[in-house]
Amino acid sequence: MLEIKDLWVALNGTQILKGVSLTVGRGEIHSVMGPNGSGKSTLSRALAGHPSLEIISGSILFDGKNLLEMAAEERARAGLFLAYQYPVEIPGLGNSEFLRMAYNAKRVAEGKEELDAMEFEDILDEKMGLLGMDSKFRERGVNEGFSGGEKKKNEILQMAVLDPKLAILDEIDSGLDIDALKVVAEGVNSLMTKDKSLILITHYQRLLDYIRPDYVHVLSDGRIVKSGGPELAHSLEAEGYDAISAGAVR
Amino acid sequence: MTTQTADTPREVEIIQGFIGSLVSGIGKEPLLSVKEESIRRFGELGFPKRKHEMFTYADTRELAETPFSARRVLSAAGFAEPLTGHILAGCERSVIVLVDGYYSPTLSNIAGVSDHVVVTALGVAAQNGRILAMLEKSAAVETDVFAALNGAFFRDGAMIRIKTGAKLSTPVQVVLLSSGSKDPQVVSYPRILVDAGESSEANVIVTYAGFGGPYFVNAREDVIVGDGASLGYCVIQADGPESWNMTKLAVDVGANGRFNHTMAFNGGKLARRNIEARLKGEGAKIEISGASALAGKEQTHIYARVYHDARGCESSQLFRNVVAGDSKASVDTTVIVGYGASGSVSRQLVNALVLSNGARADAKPNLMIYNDDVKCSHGATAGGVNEDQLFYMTTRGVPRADAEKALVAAFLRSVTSLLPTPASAETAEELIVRKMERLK
Repeated sequence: MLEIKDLWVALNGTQILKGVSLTVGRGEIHSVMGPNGSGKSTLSRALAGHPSLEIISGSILFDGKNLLEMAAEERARAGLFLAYQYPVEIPGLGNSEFLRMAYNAKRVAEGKEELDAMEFEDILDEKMGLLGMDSKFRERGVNEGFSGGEKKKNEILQMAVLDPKLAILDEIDSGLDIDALKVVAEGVNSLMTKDKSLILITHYQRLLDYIRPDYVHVLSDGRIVKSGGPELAHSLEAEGYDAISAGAVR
Repeated sequence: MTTQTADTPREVEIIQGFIGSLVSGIGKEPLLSVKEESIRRFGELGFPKRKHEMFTYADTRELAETPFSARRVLSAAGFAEPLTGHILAGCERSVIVLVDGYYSPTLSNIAGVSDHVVVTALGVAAQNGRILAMLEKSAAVETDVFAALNGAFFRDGAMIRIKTGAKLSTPVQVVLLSSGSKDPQVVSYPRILVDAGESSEANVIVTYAGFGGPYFVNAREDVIVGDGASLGYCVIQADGPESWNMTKLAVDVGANGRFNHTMAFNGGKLARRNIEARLKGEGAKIEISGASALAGKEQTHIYARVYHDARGCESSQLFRNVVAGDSKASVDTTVIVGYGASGSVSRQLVNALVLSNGARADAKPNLMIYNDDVKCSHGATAGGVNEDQLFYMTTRGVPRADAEKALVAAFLRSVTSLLPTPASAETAEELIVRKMERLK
């Protein structure tokens, strides 16, 4: 599904990613963990196509296509989804209207007809029910005045509506209390099928109690320094990033 | 204050035209005293010739040099069709129509609000000494030369009186329709006076629209908000791109009165709105918000002066302008807190989205405070479409161009959502959506 090879990425002239390689197969869940400033969010933004990032070298294949040649919207329509750590607010643009625009953009890319507002409401009803979201979030501006937990739920709602092949969840657990984390994780789990893949970016093992990864990778100073199974997350929790990173480097 | 006088050939021609109308008898009508006072003020003020503090951003030279012919519409026939489409849903039985400045009872229909609203020709209304005195006084101290021109040359107008204590569930729409012509160039001088009686509650929607070619509409709106009254007052400026629209709104708000003024501008060759608001009674409150979406060489200029004359008054202003192409928008607004206006609260915010290198957005929010017990804030921002929002939308598959349009509409919606009825909000949104196709 996704094949990243020796990816070097800079931001404003500073090298952030220094040779990341990662392969995510169909139906797999990967967790990328690492300390602050290790390059986790840069990796997710590079995958999503953020224009401020400079791709120095390396390659990314997504479903056999060269992702680096695709604009952000093309990547999304090809089935890649990024759930943000800090989702932006868009006052004045209704959440429902925004979701319908995104949904219809995907339909048009698939050669299907756009849905009108009434038709889309049925789909939205179902997805909001899945996440236990109040209908008041339909008409409010996108993320406008949402709490941290509500923003994260709204990201997962978008994931549910767009039904991506590969979702990258960038610290979806940050700012969530236990109950909200559980709801979000259950929502994500309910969307996963054997054809869908997931990259979970997180600091903490806690999220992985709810969404169990197949593989765990440790990102440190722009490189994946260690990979393993779910047990690696437990080691990180017990020993800390420094110990694991130092051990890996040795 | 810049001192000027009317001395150019065009200005002299205008004054002679006024005298000629008196000689020919056209001027023998009610409100003559208002007209004479107005032409006197026009002579004193003259058109802005050099840098003029009231016209810092709006260049009126072409307008001042163009010899416009005044419209003389006497029959409503022929205007029913152009009017279609401008009457908002829900206002079919509460609409007042002026064609080229002339009140048309035939095209108007206030059957739905006739228990609460009385419409009379302005000349008849001015037989009331209070109204006449108000018009004469404002004419004598007029500082806007275009408003003085309206005062001198208006031939007709309508007074809309909302009865004391009336609570209107249906909005009242006033359509100011202009018929255009390329040769000769034409001008009309609509004038309306809205008198919201004590403790009344109503929404008035004023629509500027035209057809048949370019025109210059030089309008005057006077509004009185009685003690304890609450008036929503919305203006939809839907003039064509070749039109000139120069309007002065003068509003007085009484004790504990509320005046909520929302504006949506389509622009035009030059659209300028001068707002002179006076919070005259204790506890009076005014909210002013305006949105413009401009493309090509369109221009919209707001010049506002809000006077806090009494204790405990509150004013709030929000302007949002989008400029593309070579268009221009400006907001020059000053809040003046008087010596006796303790406890005043005032907010001013001007935001602009500048979408091209050729476009220009000016903002000049000012405060003049003559009292220590006040809470006033002002601010302005200008910039392009928010890149983070744009990226967020594109990562959901929304094409960049569509995302930009949606973000522009969202930016303006903080004002258009304040429009008082779904139909008026929808009309403003339609203007914006149509304009989006040209916002490059």
